[in-house]
Amino acid sequence: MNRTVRWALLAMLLLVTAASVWTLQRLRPTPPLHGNVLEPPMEAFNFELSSAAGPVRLGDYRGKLVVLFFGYTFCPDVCPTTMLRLRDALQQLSPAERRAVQVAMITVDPKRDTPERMRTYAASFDPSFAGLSGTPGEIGLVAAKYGIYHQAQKGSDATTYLVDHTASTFVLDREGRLRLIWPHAITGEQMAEDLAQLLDE
Amino acid sequence: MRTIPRRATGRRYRGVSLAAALLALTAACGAEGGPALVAEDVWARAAVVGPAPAAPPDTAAHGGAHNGAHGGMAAAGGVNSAVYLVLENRRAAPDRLMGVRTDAARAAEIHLSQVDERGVMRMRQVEGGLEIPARGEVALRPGGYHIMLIGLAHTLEPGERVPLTLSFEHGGELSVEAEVRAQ
Repeated sequence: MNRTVRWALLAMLLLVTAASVWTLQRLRPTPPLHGNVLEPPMEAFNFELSSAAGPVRLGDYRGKLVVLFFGYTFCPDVCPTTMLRLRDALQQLSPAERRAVQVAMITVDPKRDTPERMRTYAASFDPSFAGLSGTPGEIGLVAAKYGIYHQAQKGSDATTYLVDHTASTFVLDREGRLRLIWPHAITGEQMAEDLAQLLDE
Repeated sequence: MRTIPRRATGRRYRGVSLAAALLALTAACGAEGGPALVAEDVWARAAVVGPAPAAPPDTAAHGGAHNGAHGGMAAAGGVNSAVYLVLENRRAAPDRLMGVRTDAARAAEIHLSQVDERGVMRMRQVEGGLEIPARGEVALRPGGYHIMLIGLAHTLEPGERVPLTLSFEHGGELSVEAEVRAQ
């Protein structure tokens, strides 16, 4: 074959190679999200609860990722661990990313956890964390909608009662859809990875 | 008793004191009569005890947990925290941690947190004491066994040391200090 054709073929080969590489790069799978991934995403129940600063609706957070954790301030072990991991996760994000994430803790112990108490507790981990409470009826409804099990258990004289509860964390995207349910065992690093990925969408 | 080879007169006394030192060391390392129980890496979670919001006089007097929304921090049982540690038992027989006393909180109890396959967290007081196996150890760590400090008397600042007295079924009592950590 003559020289021109050979050059043309070479150019085409290079073009095809370049196109393939570019396409493969774009199709490279993103790392999987952790925990229970909801595909398709679920509509999240738009609750209305009480914070120390007034009523709060889930819709108020639209535009940010929302991380919901159900716990209670009386619990000294599991709940602080989750809150600390959430704090660590946020610290691994850039300041701009951090501003786009809202962590909110909802109490499963509304009798003891007033909105004021919830605010102090949540803010002790990070000033941006919200603490929400409500009447037992309001809390019961939100918990039921999110599939959160919670049950008071008799304790000792000192503890009076303890509350068994689902220790999972829910992650909602900027459109308010439920995307992820993280188990208690998830690490702060894994949380940060997932949040960064959801923010990239 | 080890036989120390007799040397020149000048060295004999050194030999004897060496033997004595070795004997003392053996005793401390777990023979009956030495420290049977050792606590390591004792730490407490930092916690902030804020000022109790103004509460109606009758609720303040009660101090129980049944005061509903207006009880405030003190009446609602206060702020809790947890102490974690590793307990080593050097004896040939198992022992049990039966209780904990401290001035840092209203009460202290041994608890176990468990998360089941459905993701439900349960925390229960450990009844009958926490077993420490013979010549073994038990670790109290976040997410598992812990000493719950109920109703802290004051804020626990990172770096602070909290004295605690651990009571055992057989091993008597052990005084320890928990280092407060911000984690």
